[in-house]
Parts: sequence; C-alpha cells; structure tokens
Amino acid sequence: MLSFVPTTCPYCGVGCGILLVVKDGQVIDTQPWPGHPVSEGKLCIKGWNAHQFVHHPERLTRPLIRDNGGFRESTWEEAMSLVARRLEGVKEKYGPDSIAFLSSAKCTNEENYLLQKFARAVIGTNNVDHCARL
Amino acid sequence: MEAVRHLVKEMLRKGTVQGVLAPVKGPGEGGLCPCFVTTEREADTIALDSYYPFSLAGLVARQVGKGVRIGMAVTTCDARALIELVKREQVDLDQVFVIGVECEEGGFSFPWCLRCEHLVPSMADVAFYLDGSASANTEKGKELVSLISVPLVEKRETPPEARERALHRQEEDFAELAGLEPKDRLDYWLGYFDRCIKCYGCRNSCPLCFCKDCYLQPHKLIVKPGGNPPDRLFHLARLMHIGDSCVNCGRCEATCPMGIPISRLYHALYKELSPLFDYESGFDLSSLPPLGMITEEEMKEPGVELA
Amino acid sequence: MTEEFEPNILGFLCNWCSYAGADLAGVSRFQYPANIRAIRVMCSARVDPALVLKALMSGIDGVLVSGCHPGDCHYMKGNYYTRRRMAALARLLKVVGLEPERVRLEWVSASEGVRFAQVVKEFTETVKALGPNPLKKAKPWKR
Repeated sequence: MLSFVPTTCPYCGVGCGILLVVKDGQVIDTQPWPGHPVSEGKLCIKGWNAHQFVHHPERLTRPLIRDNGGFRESTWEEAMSLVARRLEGVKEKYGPDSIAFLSSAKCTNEENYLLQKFARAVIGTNNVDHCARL
Repeated sequence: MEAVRHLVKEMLRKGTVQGVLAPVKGPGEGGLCPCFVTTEREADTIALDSYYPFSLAGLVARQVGKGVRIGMAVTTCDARALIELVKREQVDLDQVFVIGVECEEGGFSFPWCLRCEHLVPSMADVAFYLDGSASANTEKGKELVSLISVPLVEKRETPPEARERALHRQEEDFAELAGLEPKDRLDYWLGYFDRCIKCYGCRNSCPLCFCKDCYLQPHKLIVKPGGNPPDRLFHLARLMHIGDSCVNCGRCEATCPMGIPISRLYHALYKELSPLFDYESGFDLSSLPPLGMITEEEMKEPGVELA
Repeated sequence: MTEEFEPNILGFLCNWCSYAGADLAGVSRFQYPANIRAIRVMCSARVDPALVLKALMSGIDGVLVSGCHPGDCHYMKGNYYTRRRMAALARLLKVVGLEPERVRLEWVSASEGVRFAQVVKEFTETVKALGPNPLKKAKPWKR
C-alpha cells in the first residue's frame, strides 16, 4: 500500500538520495534519504519536489511533431527519422558548426558522453554545452 | 527491540492492522529509513535505537490519511506529535495503534534530544521500556499486549529526576541566548535566517505542519516572494503558527541543509508559552492547542493582559 | 541639524468598536499624532500575529491592535482569541530579540473617541522613545 523507494534526485549533478513515497502505485511525495553519504538526509527545494513531474497531467508521454502551428503525436521511429534527416540537411547546407548541442544534468554520465560523441564524431562540431552553464 | 519486532509480527499475522510504519535499517551503510512494514522480513529490520530524522506522525497525517488501520512504532517525540495531529483532526486515533519506545536520556546526543524532558511515551497504546518491560496504556494497548508475552508493568511517566536533569540541560542550552542583549539576540537569529535557502525542508519535515495551502507559499504574498534567502518572516511566521505546540522532535533542524538551529528557537518559544497557557503539547487529548481555544475563566477577565 | 525621529505606526482597528471610536475622535476633532495608519479589520481576531510580524519585518516602528472590550465583541468571542495571540506574540518578540513594546493591544469601544486619541498619543510617545525599528537598518544579505 505504502512504500518508500530509494533513488537519486534527477535534478542536478550532486545526486542527493531521495525516498519516493509510493501509495497504491502512485508517487505522491518525496522524503530525504537519511544517512545517504552525499545528501546526509537533507534536500534542496528541487529535491523536495522531485516527485511532482511523474504523474503530472502535462507530462509529455509521446514524441510530438510540430505541424501547422500546433503539435501532433507521433512515434519514436517517425520522430527520430525526421530529426536525422533534418540535421543531415542542415549540416550539408550550412556546415557542421551551425549545429549546437545542449545537454543536461538530469541525464546520466553515459548519456552525456554519447551526446558529445555524436556531436564531435558524427556531426563534426565542438559546439557542446550544458544546462548548468545557463 | 526484539519485543517490538515480535509484537509487530504478531499484529501483522493476526491482521490487526494493514501494516506498521516504523524506522528500519536503510539500504546501504546505514541511516534509518521509513518503512510500511507488511512482512516478517521487514519487521526484522525495525530499529528504534537511533534517532530517525523523519516524522512518522507527519507521514500518517499527510500520506496515509484516514480510513486505513495501521500501526506505528515510534519514539516519544513522534508519539507526542501524533497526539497533536489528532487534536487538529488530521489523524483518526481509532485507526492507529501506537507502539512507543522509551528513549535513553540524552542518548542520541543531538541538541534537541539533550534538551528533551519527555523520555517515556505515556500516551502510546503500548509502551516498551528500557528494562525490557512493557505497559498497556489504553484499551487498544491491552488488545495488543495480549498477542505477545512480555513482562507487564503499570503505566509509567518520565522519572522526575530525569526531567530535572533535562530542564537543567535546557537552561544551559538557552542560557547563551537568554544572556544576550535583545539587539545581539536579534543579530544572532537574523544571521542564521540569512543562511536559509528556502528549501522548505523544515516545513516539510515538521509533523505539525500539515496545511495543504501553506501560508509560506510565494503566491500567498505573505512572505515576500522571489527572494533567496527568503524574507525573515518565513521562520517567524512558521514559529507563530507552530510555537504553541512544538514537541521538540528536531526534525526541522536535522533536515536543514544550512545548519540553522531552528529547534532551539521553536523550543525556546514553546517553553515560554507552555506555562503562560498551562499547556503541555502531545499528552492530553482533551487540552486543545492554546492559540485556537479559550477558557470560561478567561472570558470573565476584562484587561488586555492574559490573567 | 538632525530631524526628530517620527515613527511609522500601523493600527489594526476592529470595524465595530475601535474603527468607530477612531471615527468619533476624528469627527469630534480630538487631536492625535498623524504617525498612525489605520487598517480596518472586521474583528481584532482576524489579525494573525504573523501579519504583525510582517509589519515589523517591513520596517514599521510600532503596531497597535485594537478591538472591542471583552464581552462586547460583535462576534461574541473574537477578542479573547486576540488577547491570547498577542500574549504569545509578545513572548515571541522577546525570544527573538525584538522589543515587545513595539506591539500594543488595546480595547477601545465605539464611544471612546477621547480614549482612542489618548491611546495613540501614548503609544506614539512610547515608540518614539524606543527609536527606529532595528530591522530597518539590517540589510539583507547582498549577493
């Protein structure tokens, strides 16, 4: 009925430990993880509200493609092909340095590595930055 | 401790409750985590021999809600907080079986534990004492102790000598501040309030802060919005709302990332208001929170001072 | 040449008694210092001590909370709650290090125009003697 799931806060690079309070399958609250070596049972305001996006009614659940000024739902395959095609097109027309990549502390280290590898090796640009610098 | 675990297991086996909220040994290296114990294996990890920096009473009020029969294995301060929540109609006491555990005097060496003068959970349904005995303090408690065999004794209160020593330690703790000139005391507190990063941790972890539409939210425009550190009113407004019933559980200070000695301020105010209103928080269900009630005698008093 | 300190005083006046009393003082031309700004509340019990604290945090030098005499409250029991809250607030101010004399509770009825003027005059003197609110000078932490 009620369980406390230990996990890591997704919001920034510190990686504080949080306990998600799960009631009947819904994540309803966040508690700090006492004794966690990094956060020692304390959280910042983002950590205290880390549960809010999980069941939020406005949370995106499918890829959306811009269409006639609005958005239409799509599949991952269609969205990925569209992005690949358009990025290739931009790279051909304007050169690789016309594309920039912005990553995030919410991604794992592995995902960030992949992104910068993609930027440097596949596209051929050094324009890689991170949300923490903004 | 074994006796508590045994009782919890029996309660689950018999189906008295859906589960028992208790602190358990957490994952990794330690620290206690909250758990809604529903299996025997979980019950074997219940640990009430350290301070746990979360309030199970607060969890019952905010997360569990009413309509579910549960048990709680808690220390005295948490049990007091639960009684305060019952007075504020946030918890239905008929649905909650409270197992209280006696605390060792100053055993946890946190500043609020050292100041604490209430070691024995005399308001719990079943109270387990340090010498291994237990007492059934209520009708519900009698139902529970019948499930296990443990040396039974009469209901106890905190021994007066321990209370005296705690009051002495309180005086020492507050002496530093009481001895300061008001101007210096103000500088001391404002200096600490300026460390605040407005994480709302103190409000979230306080068992007595249950308001869903909290006064301190920015859109209420009471605490000036958009500031960090926040308007000093943040701490003082909360103090005014909670101060009459603070149980000195210390969760606010334990969870503050900036190390602001919040419980020192709140406990100090509570110690001032407790004799003024003749109110002891967390024990007697029939004495309501002082700022929300008035007495017949008071209504005869014509002056501006409280008699 | 130094200017004499003129305090800013905020008055929470209950609609049925104190505000009417202040009105009577005005109509009868009883003089009282102009340092006070009146806020009309329906009952003195509406005054949350946190609001009084907010006034002090904002730099106001003195706060006067005024209601009906005990037993005469338009809502029967409001002023009893006010009395409890102001007593608690006075203790809070003491614990934090602000001067409890900056907050005063008074009972002024609708017919007591003279008394209202008297109360404001006395309170203004008290606050003048206390000096400006120390929080006015205390700057918040600057980045």
